[in-house]
Amino acid sequence: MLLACSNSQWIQAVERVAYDLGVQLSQRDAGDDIAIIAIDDASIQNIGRWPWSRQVHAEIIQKLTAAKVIGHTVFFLEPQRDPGLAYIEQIQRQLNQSSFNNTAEGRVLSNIIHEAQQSLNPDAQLAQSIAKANNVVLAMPFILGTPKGKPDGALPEYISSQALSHIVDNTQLNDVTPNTIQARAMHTPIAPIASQARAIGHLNHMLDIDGAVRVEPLVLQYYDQYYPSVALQVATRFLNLDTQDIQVTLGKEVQVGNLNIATNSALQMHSFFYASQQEKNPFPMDSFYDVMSGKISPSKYQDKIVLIGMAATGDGGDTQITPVSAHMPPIQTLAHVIASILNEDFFIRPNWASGFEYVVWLCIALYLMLLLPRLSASIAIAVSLSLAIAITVTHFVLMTQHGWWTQLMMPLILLVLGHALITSKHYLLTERGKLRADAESSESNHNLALMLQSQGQLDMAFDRFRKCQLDESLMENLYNLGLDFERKRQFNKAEQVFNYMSSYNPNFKDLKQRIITSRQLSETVILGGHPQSSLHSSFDTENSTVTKPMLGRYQIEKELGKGAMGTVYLGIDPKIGRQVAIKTLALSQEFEASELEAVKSRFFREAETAGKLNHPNIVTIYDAGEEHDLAYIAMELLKGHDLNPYTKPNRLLPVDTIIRIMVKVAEALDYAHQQHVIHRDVKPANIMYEPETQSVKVTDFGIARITDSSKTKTGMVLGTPNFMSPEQLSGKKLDGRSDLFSLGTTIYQLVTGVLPFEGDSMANLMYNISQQTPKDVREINPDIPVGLAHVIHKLLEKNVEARYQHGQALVVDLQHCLAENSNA
Amino acid sequence: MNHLEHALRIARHTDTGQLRTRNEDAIASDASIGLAVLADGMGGYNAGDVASQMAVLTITAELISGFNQARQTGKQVDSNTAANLMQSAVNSANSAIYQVANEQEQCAGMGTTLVLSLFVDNQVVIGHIGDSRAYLLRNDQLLQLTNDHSLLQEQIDSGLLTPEQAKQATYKNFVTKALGVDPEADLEINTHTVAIGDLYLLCSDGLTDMVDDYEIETTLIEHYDDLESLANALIRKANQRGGKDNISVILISVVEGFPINRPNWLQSLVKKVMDKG
Repeated sequence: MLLACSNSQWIQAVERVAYDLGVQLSQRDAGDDIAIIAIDDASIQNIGRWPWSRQVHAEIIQKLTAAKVIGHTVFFLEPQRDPGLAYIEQIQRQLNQSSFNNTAEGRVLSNIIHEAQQSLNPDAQLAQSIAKANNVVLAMPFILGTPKGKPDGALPEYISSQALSHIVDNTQLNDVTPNTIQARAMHTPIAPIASQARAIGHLNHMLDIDGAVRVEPLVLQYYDQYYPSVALQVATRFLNLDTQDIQVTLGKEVQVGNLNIATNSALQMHSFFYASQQEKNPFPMDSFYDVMSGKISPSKYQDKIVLIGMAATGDGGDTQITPVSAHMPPIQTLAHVIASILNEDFFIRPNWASGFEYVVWLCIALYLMLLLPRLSASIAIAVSLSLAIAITVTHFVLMTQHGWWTQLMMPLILLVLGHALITSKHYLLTERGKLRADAESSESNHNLALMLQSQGQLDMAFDRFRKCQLDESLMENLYNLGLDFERKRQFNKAEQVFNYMSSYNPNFKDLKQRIITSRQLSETVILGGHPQSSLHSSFDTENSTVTKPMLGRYQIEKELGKGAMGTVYLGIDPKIGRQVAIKTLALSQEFEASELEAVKSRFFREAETAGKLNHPNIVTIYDAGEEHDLAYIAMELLKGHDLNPYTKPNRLLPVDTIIRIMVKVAEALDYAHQQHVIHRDVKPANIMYEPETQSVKVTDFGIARITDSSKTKTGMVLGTPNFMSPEQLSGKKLDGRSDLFSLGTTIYQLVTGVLPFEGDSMANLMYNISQQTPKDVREINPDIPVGLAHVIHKLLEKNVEARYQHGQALVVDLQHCLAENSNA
Repeated sequence: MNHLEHALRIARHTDTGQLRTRNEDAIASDASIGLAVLADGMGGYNAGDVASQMAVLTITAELISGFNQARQTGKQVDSNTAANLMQSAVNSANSAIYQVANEQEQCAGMGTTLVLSLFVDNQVVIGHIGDSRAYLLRNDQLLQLTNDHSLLQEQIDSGLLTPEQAKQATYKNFVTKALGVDPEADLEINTHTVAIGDLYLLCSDGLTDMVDDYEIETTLIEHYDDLESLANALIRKANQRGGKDNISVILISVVEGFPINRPNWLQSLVKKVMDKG
């Protein structure tokens, strides 16, 4: 798609890198047929400034006659003439013309001249030694370019004889366009030397766009002739073949004897480059000077290919970039090329390569377009990755094992970029969908959280709030949630909420202060083992840093008083604005952990029973619950006071009033007993009386039983059993008549100001209740009507059968008393 | 953006009725996941609305996040997956209500009936508990898709009562199953294939106790083209007949198909290969 038409230049660069890597990974043996004599820095230092006299070259060639082929890469393009030579030649010409030549002295002179001529003409010396060695292949440069017309002139015979004669042109047949590298001119070596050479080849390097040498142009086209390269010529001579034995199939390959060298359409060979083995150069380089000076014996080069060329770092010592090295002396490159030819080690682009590349490209494109968008992210990355690995492995296996170069980087890049593009697009789309969906679920969770919070389900609410996206409106809600936790004294939870909030905006309202306070308080609760400092049992309503505490869904307003069980608070049900009295029982303080569960369940059972009672003279129970070891009962908030203050001898109520109150209490007890509910703790403190409205309410039904089994604490008088019935003290099964006994005690105290039974110890008191007959009320207060005294006496019978059997009978007698009293 | 939003038209309406002072029904719908949910709360100390609200809010929240997760992992939600998601959403609603009912005295004994639908892959998954109903109007024929979980229905099913006698029964509102009263939710789930032109009705017993099926059918046919006025018409009729209970209706009409993209053979192959690997 987009990539198909992308700039091929940088893809080609990637291909080249992959090619170089493939070359480096290939391991072949270079063989040891090739030796290099390098004109290195040491040689130049010892022999003299470059260029050297051709005498030097002549000398070394003389030493190397044993070598099989000498490839000489130094160009000999201009004659080297000593200025003195012209004079010598002039002298000789003069001498030849004169008669002096025929004299004996003249002959001696002539010999000297001849000698001088010889030694002053290095070209001739070189030509001579080349001719003598008969194994020298010379190099010549061509000037590359497409010829426009005809060549400058006829070539000398020693050049034209180098042209290849076996050219096969199948290009029309195979429908291939040959694009053999063309040359428009050449710099020929000077005739005396060149004519003596065994062969001459071109020495032209083809540089890639990045300046690297990867290919060797085996053959150059010069007008209608084809000239082989030095490397090809050397290899041919090494195989004892001749230029005429080289057969070229245009656009395809070069054959030398049995060697088939596959080329690209330009007759270029993708040369192999042999890796150094154990840090050893595959082609050892000997210093020119060492050979000259005899330090290295010429026998070393017996039957080998010897390459002579520049490897100095100074002038003329350029290095080349090759797949295996960034600085390779050209002479080394030549060695690699020749070895490639001889070993048939080279890379080719098979015929099917481009088709194969196209198919791979197409597969990847199809994969990206059709399959990838339907795969889940993890499978997609796995498939893409394995495809990428497969492509890379294919590329390198084909290169290293078969020498096949396929340009697979294009599909690879397509795969990588395409995958990135498509997955990121996919990711963006799903991300957008996710944001939208998040907002939706955020909204529904938000609503749910608010609802749960209003139901007092703070933990569940917090869970839901955490699923919402944090924003300003949510912060407000969370803040309220934190305050609710504080009200419930769950400071660690409150701290959690505030900490969660501070991740969004630590400067929200007084958040920082809240976090500190909550942490301190939550630690206090943990440390609060002592009853005095414990927050379990009582609320510190004066603490201004904390919002009003909550108990269940009730907001605690203030403390109303302390009862036997625990503190009584004024609370408000915030939902309906109703004021309630909340009686609390600090369970963990009153009971051992082992019996806590049993006590709890009994507490709620009793609260439930009491809650069923619906009578104008019984206080209404709204709700019961427990929180932080604090069991509580929410009940009707009563005005007025209990009857305790009226038990003091100097504050006694009028008898009439007492009887009227007692009628209502008896009715209430009768109703409760009919519901099978026994009060168990009838006493003045449990009867609420409001003088203005004459309203009477019996409170604390059944609750006494809960505290029955409470552990007795020294120094704590948990309700003395002054009002208990004998059967209650002996632990028998109770019924309503027990309550009536207690009511008798109550009336006794209200009319007389003293208790019927007293004792200086618990044992005494219990004995008195169960055995002693109390003093007649009239003995204490003679104003008490006889009827009432009888009623009291009957209520305080030890034998249950002798008492009133139910409240209604008591009501009748009390009303009778009232009537008598008012008549009197 | 979402093909479901083009495929479905949804209208919903709830009304307190003539006699009640509070509306204990709760309804919600979300076209993007093809969800409609209706709950009729009951019991507790004025807490029936708590149960129904909790049910609707929890189920909506859970289902949206469930569909989100599926979408993020690239999974297609088919009707089976939808039924599973529905079951787990209803389970969490059930345990939430159950917990609150047990912890809060004033909520003790609260519960709610429930009917909900998920439209997915040219099908509709309908779940219900209690006596809130789902109906389908197709080819001008009204079809009740849910079977009430009520004492009355059980008696009809067991042959103790004829449908005629049942109309006279006074204990119409005793449900045998409800959400939030047991630790486990006993949700009945049925899947139906959807046809274009279908009109689905979810309603509370405030409608069905007041308006009989025949009249519901004629009303649906009459106002078929305008869901909003249809919802209002149904509620108006229930109120005219006395409106003894809260009345809620959700109407969903199908205007286009909404198939999910099935994986092609190549994807199935890749998946198989991956699974084996």
